[in-house]
Amino acid sequence: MILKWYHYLICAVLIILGLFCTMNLVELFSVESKEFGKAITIETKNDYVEISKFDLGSIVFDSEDYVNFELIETYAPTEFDGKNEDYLILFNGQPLNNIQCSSGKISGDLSIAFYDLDGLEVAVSDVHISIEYYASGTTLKLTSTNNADSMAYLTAYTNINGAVVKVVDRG
Amino acid sequence: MEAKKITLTIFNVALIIVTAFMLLMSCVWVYYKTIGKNKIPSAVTSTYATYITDPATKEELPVIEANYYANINGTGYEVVELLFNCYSGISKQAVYSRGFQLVYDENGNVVPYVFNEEKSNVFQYNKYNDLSFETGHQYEWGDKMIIDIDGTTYAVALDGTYSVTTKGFDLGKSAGNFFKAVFTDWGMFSREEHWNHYETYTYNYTFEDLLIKVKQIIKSFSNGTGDGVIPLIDLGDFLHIYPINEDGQIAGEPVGVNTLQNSYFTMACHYDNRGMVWAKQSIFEAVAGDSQFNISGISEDADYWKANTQYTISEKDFEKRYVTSESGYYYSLSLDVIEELKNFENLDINIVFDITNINYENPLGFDYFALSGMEIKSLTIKSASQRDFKLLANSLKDTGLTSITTENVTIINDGSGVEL
Repeated sequence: MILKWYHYLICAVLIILGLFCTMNLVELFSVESKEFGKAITIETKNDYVEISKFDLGSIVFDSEDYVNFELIETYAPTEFDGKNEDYLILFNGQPLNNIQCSSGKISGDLSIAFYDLDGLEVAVSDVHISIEYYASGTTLKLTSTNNADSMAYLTAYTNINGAVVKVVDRG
Repeated sequence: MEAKKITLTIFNVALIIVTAFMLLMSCVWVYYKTIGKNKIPSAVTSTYATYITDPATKEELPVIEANYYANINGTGYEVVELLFNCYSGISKQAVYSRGFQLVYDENGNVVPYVFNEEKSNVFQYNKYNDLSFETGHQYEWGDKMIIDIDGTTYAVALDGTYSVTTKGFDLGKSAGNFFKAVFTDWGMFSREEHWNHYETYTYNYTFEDLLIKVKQIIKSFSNGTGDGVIPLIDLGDFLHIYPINEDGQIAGEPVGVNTLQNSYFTMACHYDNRGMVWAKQSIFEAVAGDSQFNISGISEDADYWKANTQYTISEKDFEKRYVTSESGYYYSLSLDVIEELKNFENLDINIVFDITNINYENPLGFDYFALSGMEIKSLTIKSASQRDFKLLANSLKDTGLTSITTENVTIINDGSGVEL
């Protein structure tokens, strides 16, 4: 069998092309699934059972007499028998002190300390929060117990972080 | 001579066989690159960019932070914010965070901001280490940001693309198919491909697209105002992860070429139903580049750096250990209380230990490692009548306490770990 020079040239071109295609096919068919890094899971920090939740948005303590400031909001009725004494009230996820609980009523004290850049305490805002559960609706009452300057910090705080009150059962 | 001829013939035959095989492989390659591309077994490359560590503070920062104010109440502005926490370079010497913000006006339209030639609506901010955010940095499509995945350095870039196919009436094609349809196949009239031409355009995803996607993600995960962490969101359509070569350069191709790419990110997010009314609500402490923005009516005088909730622990939260030789009890903070307090951040813990309420138990003092090294803001120990109270070894160790407030109590410091 006699081949001309250009036959060899065509064969060479086709072989080079075929080699490229073969290598590319091997690459395509040999890829494997891989993972870089690890998926994380967020551990549930607690197993609290949410009883009720109130999203106040932000609280504006605009009364001149802050010591007697009261904010009363009414929400749809929720059942709360108060029999379990293992309840918590959380304000933006933080626990309140002095939880008092009875049938259809729960209350607690919120206290937030504000610090400047040097770590010095510049104000403390105290609010008593009580929630009363009636058949006609649920009433949330906030009562401030500080002067105007302290409450201005709480107004600023709720404007940045919102104000969500939750009643939870420790379970 | 004859042998040489036979050898040449064998060589030529072999050459033709090899060439034919290579031609076949080329045809196979063309098939899998065109109509058979869906038959290639699919592999998936998944990357998980979760946290980076600040080299200065050793603090773990989520790779992405996001903030969305929905303005449902209509009192402020709808704002979406995205912050990438990444490093300043491959050597990972400092944190260089890059932020993007989309602001909608009162009518829900994006506030346009001609920042660069692309006329992006996105406001850009950047922060080097712990300095405050600044505007002026311009991130462009495809720029690489350095991150860390499981101890290995990678780069992440917004360089995703998407395709849009448009159709238009094709006169030439329609003229050719009209008679064919009339005489052979009336069904062709209802098939659009016989009358239209199609063109596919490829576009680059922008940060505005990414911010809108992030907004949708936060909305779908949220049930109201609050903070949370979404452990895995797949932004593989927008963002690609690039390895670093052995010579310390960012590779030209992302990880997982020829595979499906899932780029998972951990995103810490804040969702708020309200509108943004104050620059301090923004991650960047600015709205549309304005750090003085304030329509909240709140005085800047009430500015603070940190807000901690005060939480008080009493003697009821302690467990007791009876010591026969002293006929009394030593107290340690209950493990249940310790575990529960771990659930909360930004908490100032104050202890008020009132001996009067447990006087019948004959309290002797705090036990070894009584406070388990928990950081305590203040400790008050009081009693209605004068008595001694012993602090056993390491009882106050690593609590950060420097003093104790007492009422009718004499402290006997037996190596508590604190100089009183």
